[in-house]
Amino acid sequence: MKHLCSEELLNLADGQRSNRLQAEHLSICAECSRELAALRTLLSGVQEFHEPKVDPDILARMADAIDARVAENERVVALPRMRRVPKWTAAIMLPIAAAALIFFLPILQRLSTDQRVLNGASISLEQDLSAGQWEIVWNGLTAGMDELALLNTVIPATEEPLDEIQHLSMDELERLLELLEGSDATFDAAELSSRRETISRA
Amino acid sequence: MDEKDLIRRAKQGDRQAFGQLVRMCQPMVYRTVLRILGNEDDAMDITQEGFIRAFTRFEGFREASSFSTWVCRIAMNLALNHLRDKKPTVDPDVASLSTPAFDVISSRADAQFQVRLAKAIEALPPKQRLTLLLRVKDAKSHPEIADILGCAVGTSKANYHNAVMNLRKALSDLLPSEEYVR
Repeated sequence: MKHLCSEELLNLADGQRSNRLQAEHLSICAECSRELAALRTLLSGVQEFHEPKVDPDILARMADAIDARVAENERVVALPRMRRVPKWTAAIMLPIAAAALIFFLPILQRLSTDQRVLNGASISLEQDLSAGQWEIVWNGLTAGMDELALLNTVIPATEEPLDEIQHLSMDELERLLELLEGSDATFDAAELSSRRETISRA
Repeated sequence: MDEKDLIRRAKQGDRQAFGQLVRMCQPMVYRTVLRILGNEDDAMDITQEGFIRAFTRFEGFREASSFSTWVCRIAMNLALNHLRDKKPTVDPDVASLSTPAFDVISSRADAQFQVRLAKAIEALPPKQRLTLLLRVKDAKSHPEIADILGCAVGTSKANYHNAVMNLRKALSDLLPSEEYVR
């Protein structure tokens, strides 16, 4: 005798009507009838299975919390979403972008350096350590060693020899003095003036 | 105002409309999550997170199913992820209850039977448990369950069958015995 399979029995326990063959089998097979009864008992038990009731207060509090969080998220949601780039577009665009970056990188680097100088202090000292020299940078203009010598006389922190200043022409000296006086650099105006007179006499 | 109107307004950024949608389907979503997690605090957090996800992804809602089904699926996936992230805990009560306390039940309303059944339901894998309760307690059809769970109808039927067979096995000492293996 071929018994009903568990799927058939479950369907019957679940409320599906039995066909003629199933009905005939169940009328003569005690085992299948018993199993069907067991499954029906089980499903009735599940139907009566006690689940905790949902507290309306909890739901109300949760709804309020969701409202608040939705309000927080609203601004983020309002931002336009980025469209996904198709794979084939990315496959073409990425190498082009990489090549462009390699080509323009030195230019960008140079630009950023210049910008740093222009946006930096209106006057600053930079030392070329390899040459053991100092140079003055003022709004992108670079002065040489001779001008540096003058600077040494007005900024006490530097201890470079002052001999070089003797080789400055009056024009050069005037230009440097203008440059220094118009800047925010800290220097002793009295000392600068006296030094200028000394040079003029020389 | 019906659900379609509320969805249309909510998609246009009407927060009040979204709030109404939340209140309409919140009990179902919360109950589904609670059935998976079995913990009210976690269920509250995950339900909230599910609605926030739904709000932030509202553009992606194509209205192929109802809003409640869509949010339910989002929340259910969050709940299942939450379960995966949590370390499994062994309930000593389950072990002690697995020992047969008596031979045959006199009635399905028997308290011991209900206790054993409750423990067996809790011990089911989450998707089997959810499918069983949706089918038996909420009288959902398999296509409806498949829609909520985001699976095939056949998967829903298989989950249901496995759930019942697992319960049958766990309670075999309390239910009329069978002499053969099908």
